Amino acid sequence: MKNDKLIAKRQRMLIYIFFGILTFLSIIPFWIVLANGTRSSEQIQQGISLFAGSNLKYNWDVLMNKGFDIFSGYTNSFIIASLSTILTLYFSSLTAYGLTAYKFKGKTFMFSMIMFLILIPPQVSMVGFYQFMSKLGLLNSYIPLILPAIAAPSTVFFMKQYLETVYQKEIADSARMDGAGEFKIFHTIILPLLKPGLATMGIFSFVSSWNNFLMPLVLINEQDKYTLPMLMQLLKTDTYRTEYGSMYLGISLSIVPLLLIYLLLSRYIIGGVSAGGVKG
Amino acid sequence: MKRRWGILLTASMVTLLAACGNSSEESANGKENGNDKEKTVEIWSFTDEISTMINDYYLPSHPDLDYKINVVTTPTEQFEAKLDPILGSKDAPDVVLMEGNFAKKYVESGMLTDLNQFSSLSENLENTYDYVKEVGTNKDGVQVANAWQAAPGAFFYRDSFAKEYLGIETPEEMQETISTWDGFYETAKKIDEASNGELDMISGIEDLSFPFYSTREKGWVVDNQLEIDNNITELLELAKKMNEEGLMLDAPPQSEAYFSGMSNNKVFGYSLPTWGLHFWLKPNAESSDASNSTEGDWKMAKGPATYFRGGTWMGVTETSDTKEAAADIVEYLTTDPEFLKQWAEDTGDVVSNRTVVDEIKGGFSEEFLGGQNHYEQFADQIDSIDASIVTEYDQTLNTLFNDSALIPYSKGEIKLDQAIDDFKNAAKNAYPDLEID
Repeated sequence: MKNDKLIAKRQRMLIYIFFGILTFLSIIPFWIVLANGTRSSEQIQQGISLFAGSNLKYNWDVLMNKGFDIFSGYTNSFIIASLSTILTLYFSSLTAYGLTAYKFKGKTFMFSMIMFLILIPPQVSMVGFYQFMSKLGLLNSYIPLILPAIAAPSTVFFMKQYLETVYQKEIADSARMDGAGEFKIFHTIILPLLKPGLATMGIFSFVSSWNNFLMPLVLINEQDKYTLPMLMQLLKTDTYRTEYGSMYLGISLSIVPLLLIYLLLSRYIIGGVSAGGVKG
Repeated sequence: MKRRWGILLTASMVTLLAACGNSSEESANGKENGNDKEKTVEIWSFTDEISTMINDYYLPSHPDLDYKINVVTTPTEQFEAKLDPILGSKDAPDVVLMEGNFAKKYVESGMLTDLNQFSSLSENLENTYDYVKEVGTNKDGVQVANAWQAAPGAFFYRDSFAKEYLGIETPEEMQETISTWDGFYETAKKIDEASNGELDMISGIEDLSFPFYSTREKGWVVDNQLEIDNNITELLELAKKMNEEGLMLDAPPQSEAYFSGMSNNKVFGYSLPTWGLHFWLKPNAESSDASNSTEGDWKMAKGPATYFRGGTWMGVTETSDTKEAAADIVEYLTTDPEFLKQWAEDTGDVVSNRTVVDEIKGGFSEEFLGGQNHYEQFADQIDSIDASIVTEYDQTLNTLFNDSALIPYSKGEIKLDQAIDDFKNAAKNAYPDLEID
C-alpha cells in the first residue's frame, strides 16, 4: 500500500521534472531574444547570455533613428494580417460546410484536389507568382498579400474535420423548415458552432501572416508600405555592421502582440486542437 | 449573436475593399504628382550606404533635378531572390547595386547597359583602378558596372605578440617573414611553440582561403570548364596541416569565436579587407565584458598574397527608361573626384579613383594600428590585384568548395581525392552545364 503511494509520488515527481524541462526549453529562446534586445552588437556576436545588458537605450535609439517609422510597420502588418485572417476563416469555413453538409457529384475528387494543394511547398510558386503580379501591375499593393488568403487548403481541412464532429443534419433541416436560406443557415447556425475551430485557425493564420517576410519583401518597394518584419530586416542592410541588439529589440517588439494573443486565446487553442483531432 | 457576425463580416469586407481601393489609387497618384516630378529613378541596393550617398551628397550637389530617386534596400540574403525574377521586365529597377561576391553574375547577364555610351561617364572612367573596371566588364569587353571603392585585403596581426614571440619590430620585417605561404606556415609554428600552444596564428579557414584564391592562375571556370588549380590543392593541404598542428583556432567565419578572438589573446592575426578593419576588427577589439582591449596593438602587413574582398558595384539596367539620369548617378558616385575625396575623408573608405587616392593617401595615421598609415599600405596593393580570375560562378562555388571540401578536409574528416570529388559533384549539381573532368 505504502509502496504504491511512494511509486506514484516518484512518478509524479519525474513527470513534473520532465515537463519543467520542456517548459524551460520553450521559454528560453524568448528569454534570449528579450535579453539580447538590451545588449550591444559586439556582446551578442561574442556569446550568449541570459542576463540583460545595459544597451537598451542605445538599441532603442538606433531602432527609432533608422529613418523608418516602426509604428507604421505595426499598422501595415496588422491590416494585412487581420484582413487575410478574416478571409481565410470565412471562406475556409464556407468550403468546409459545403463539403460536409451537401452531397454532390465529384465531392470526393474536389476534396482530394484541395488536399493535394497542401503538398505543394509555397516556395515553388513564388517566382511565378511574383512575375504574374508584376504583369498584372499589382506590385507595391497589398492585394497579392491579402486576397490569396481566400484559398487556404490546410484551414479547409481542419475546419472540415472539426465540423464533422459538431454538425448535425437535423439542425439545418429544421432551419430550412422555418424558411431560412442556405447562406443564412451558414451565418446564423454553423459559424457560431465553429467558434473554437475559428479561434484556433484564426491564431495560426494571423501569426503566419504577421511573420510573413519573403513575400512582402519581394512585392513591396515603397518604404511607407513596409511591414514590421521588413523594417526589422532593414537593420541588416548596413553592409559591414549589423546592429544585432536593435534587431533583437525589434523582434521583441514584434512578438509582443503575438504573445498577448496567445495568452488571451490559449484556452480556445487547446480546446480547438483537441476537438479537431477527435473524429466522431 | 446572429447580428454581430453579420455586421462584423460586412464591416471587414468594406474595410478590405476600401484598403484595396486606396492602395491602387495611391500608386496611381504617386506616379503622377509625387512632388510634381515626372520620372523616378529606382535604385535597388543591399547596403544602406547608398541612401547616405544620395541624401547627403548627391541631392545637395544637384539641387534642381527633374526626377525623384527611390532607394529600395533589401538584405543581401534576399537581394538576389527579389531582383532575379524581375530583371529584364518593366518593373526592374533603373540602377542595380551588386556585391563583389555576385557582381559578375549580373555583369555577365546581359541585363546591364554599356557605361561607355554615356560620354562624360566614359571619360571619367579613366581614373578608376583597373581591377575595379575589370570586375565590371563582361566577357565581350563591355564595361557595365563600376564601383566607388577598392577593397584590397591585408594581414592584421598583434604587434605585442610579434615582438614577444618572433622578435619582429616592424610591419616590413613581418612582411618579409610571411611573404610566402611557407614563411607563413613557419611563422605559425614558431608562434605556437613560443606560446606553448596558447596563441593561434589565424582564426580559421577564411584567413587562408581569400588570399589563396587570388593567387590562382585561372578562375573557377574557364571556357565553361571547371578549373581546379594546383593552388587549390595547396590551400587544402595548408589548411589541414595548420588545423592538425593546432595553428589555427578553426572558428567558423564570423562566428562568436571568430569575433571573440579579436580581443581575447587567442588569435595572432586576421586576413581582412579595408572595411574589415573598420567594421569588424575595431569594434570587436574590446571584449564584450570590457575586461580586455587590444586597441592600438594591431599592425598590418600585406601578407602572402594581394587580394580583394567585397566592394559594391553599380550598373544601369537595359530596361531603364531613365538611363541618362541613372548614368549620371553612377558617374557621380563612382567617378566624381570631389565626391570621392569627400567620401574617403568622411568614412576612411579606400575609393576606386586613382587620382584621389594618390592625392590623399599620405595623410593618414591610424591610431588603432599604432599610428601606421593603413591607407597608403592598402593603396600600394591595389595595382597588383588580379581580377581576371573573378567569374560569375564564384559566389556559389566558393561556398560549395568551403562546405564540401575545405572544411571537412581541414578537419581530417575525408581524404583529398574525396574532397575534390565531392566538390566536383556539388559543382555539377549547381551548374549542370559545366564541363567537369
